[in-house]
Amino acid sequence: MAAQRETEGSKANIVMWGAPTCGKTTFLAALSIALGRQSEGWKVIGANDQSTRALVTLTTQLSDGVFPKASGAVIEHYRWRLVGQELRRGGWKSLFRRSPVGVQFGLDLADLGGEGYSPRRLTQKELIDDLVNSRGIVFLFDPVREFEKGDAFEYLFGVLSHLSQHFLENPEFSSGLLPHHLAICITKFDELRVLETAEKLGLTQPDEEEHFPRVDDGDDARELFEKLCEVSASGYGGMILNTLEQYFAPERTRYFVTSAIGFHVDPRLGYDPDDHQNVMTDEKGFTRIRGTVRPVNVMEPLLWLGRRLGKK
Amino acid sequence: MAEPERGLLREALGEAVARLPDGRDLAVVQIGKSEIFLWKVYRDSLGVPRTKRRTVLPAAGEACQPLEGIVYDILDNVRESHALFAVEDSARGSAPWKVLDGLRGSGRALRDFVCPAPFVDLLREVLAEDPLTRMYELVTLRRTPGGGAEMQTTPLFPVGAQRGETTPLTLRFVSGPPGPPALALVASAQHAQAFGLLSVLSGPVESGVHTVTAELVRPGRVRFEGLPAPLAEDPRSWNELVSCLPERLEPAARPRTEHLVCAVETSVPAADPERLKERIARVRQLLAGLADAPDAPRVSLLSYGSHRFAWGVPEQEPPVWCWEGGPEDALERLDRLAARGPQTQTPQRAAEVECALAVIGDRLERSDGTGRTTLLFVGERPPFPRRNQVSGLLPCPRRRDWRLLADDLRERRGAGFAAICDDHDEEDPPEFWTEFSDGPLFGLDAVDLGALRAALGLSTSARGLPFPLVETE
Repeated sequence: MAAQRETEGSKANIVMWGAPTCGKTTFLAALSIALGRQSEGWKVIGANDQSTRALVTLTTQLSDGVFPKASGAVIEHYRWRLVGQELRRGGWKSLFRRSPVGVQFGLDLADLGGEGYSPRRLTQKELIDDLVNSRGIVFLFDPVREFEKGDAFEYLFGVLSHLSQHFLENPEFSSGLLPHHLAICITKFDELRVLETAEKLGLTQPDEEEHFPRVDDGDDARELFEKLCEVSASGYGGMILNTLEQYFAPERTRYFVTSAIGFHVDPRLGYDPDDHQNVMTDEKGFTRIRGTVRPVNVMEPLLWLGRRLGKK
Repeated sequence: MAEPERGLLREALGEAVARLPDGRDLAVVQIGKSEIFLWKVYRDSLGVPRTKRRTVLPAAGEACQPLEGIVYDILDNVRESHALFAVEDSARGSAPWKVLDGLRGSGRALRDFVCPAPFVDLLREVLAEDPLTRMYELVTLRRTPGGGAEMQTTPLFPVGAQRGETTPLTLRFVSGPPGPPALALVASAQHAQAFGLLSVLSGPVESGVHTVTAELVRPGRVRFEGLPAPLAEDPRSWNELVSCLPERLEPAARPRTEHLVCAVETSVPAADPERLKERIARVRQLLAGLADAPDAPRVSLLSYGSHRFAWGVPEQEPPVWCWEGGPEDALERLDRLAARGPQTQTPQRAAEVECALAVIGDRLERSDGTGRTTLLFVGERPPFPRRNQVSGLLPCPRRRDWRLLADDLRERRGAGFAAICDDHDEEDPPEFWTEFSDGPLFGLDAVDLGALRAALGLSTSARGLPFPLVETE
């Protein structure tokens, strides 16, 4: 019996989606570090030379305190595999016993430059095809950008319209909902305004080990998402949540509050709520990471998507 | 003359004066041994009771009017007034006494009293004890948030106050040219905005805080006790006094600084490595002017840069180059500071102002030095915040709060604050340094040393203030 299961076919692809500078590349770069910080045995491995090189480069840059260069209009395809173990029930002899089973999730991540999703570029068939052929989407919502520019809805609505068009005749679309699983990630949780909003809503809880704040996935994260959409610079932020819920089934959608770089934790004093900022400007004027990278909720959305797609 | 009779007249007169409304008279006819005076008691525009006296019956030796004529004259003069008649005891049997008989026989209701001579003493006593019909206030100054001076009045005596009442005051006098501070007494009617000037007194008063007791001597006159020299009527006009009010209050209002702490920011823009030399030059100019002064303050010198937030590199406290030395010591240490050179500014747009304040506070706590301490900061960047900020500025690694530290120095040590800021734009002054400084903010490119010395409380020729400041501590 095969203890190992690998998702096959492009429909298992997970695509990352979000406005420019929403942190897609940093999110990907933080994945390996996030996996390295957990003790459940999960790891990410490149499936070809190009993807392995990208994995090493992105991870090294981030661990050196440098923000990886955001992808432009170029689509970066990372063929990665998330390899780990899960407790699963075996055959009839072990019906009531769960045993560790080796599992691989295919993370053929397409890191598309935010501009690629602009309505002005939607004629590029390749971009839409990547989303059409995927069944897992990581939607990154940058609340800081939304507060300052408010263009998330612009990037969202055009893409959803074209995706829907592709699925119009597809039986998977019979309910009027797209067949994708959607992990909505509210990014930059480490940013003061985002954290303070969560704190004011009473949604934060201290992390059991590091004591920095977290917001529970699901309803709490959705409440924060809704609140942050209200302060959109364009005034269209409120439509983002409604639109996502109109296109994606609630049972295939989950909300995560994330931070690729995490909070600053002083190696001697630990987490200090008065000094949690993990970004600083270096001597040359570049924005860089202040301390160690401690990703918050970076691997969780991908593992959730991988598991959901694997169960199909 | 029996005292009870004198008491009756005094009581009747006091009651009549107290009830005297503005614009009306009280007539009092004084009948003496050889003369008759007609007194008119009235209130002036400030509610102070005043008197006018007219002789009705000439003294002995002058031509006498017919008795009837005198009676008519008196009745004619008191027709519109409340009237009282005071008959001096010595007048019994005299010619004026006959006038009284004539008045009694005129049919008009008279209130006459017998009193011991001289009646004028009794009248003075009654007027002095008249309760105030206006509130009496002292013209004082208060500091405005913008560093200016604003006139105000400090209540002394309410309506109804009487002779002998006192009010304690704690006043700060700032003596100096163009004239001594004045104690200007004003009266104001209840529910009225207008003030009337009652008196302006002045005299030689040393600068500093004085505890003064204001005593109501009589309506219209207040005596101030507790000052080293007696006060006299000030000859200056009101306009002259008001024109002496400086635009900025603090420099002249401060006591002299006996300990000057200079803190110089050593971080400079990469494009302007000479900036530190300019900052040091300004401090040098200031200290050089103090070096020969017989009353030179003690001088301390610190430098401060920017937090580095470097991994594994412990943050150092701002170094103290000289503590409570003389100006010459500080000048020599300035040379060493200049020789060490600047630190290039970090992208963190802040400097260790808060840590410099902490070091100063700590040193002062351990110091035996007396007198006022004034801090002069020379630099550009504001302090690091106490905690995270939306701006992204990292907090002070020691979590120091400059406001708490500065308030502590102000409140517990009475310290003053001044600053020379690199980029001082009069139109758009730097927010932090404006809040930091007690007085005017100085720019690095052109420092008016006289004004700086005055702001630091080092000037011996500070201008005086025309009125005292009310001390609220």
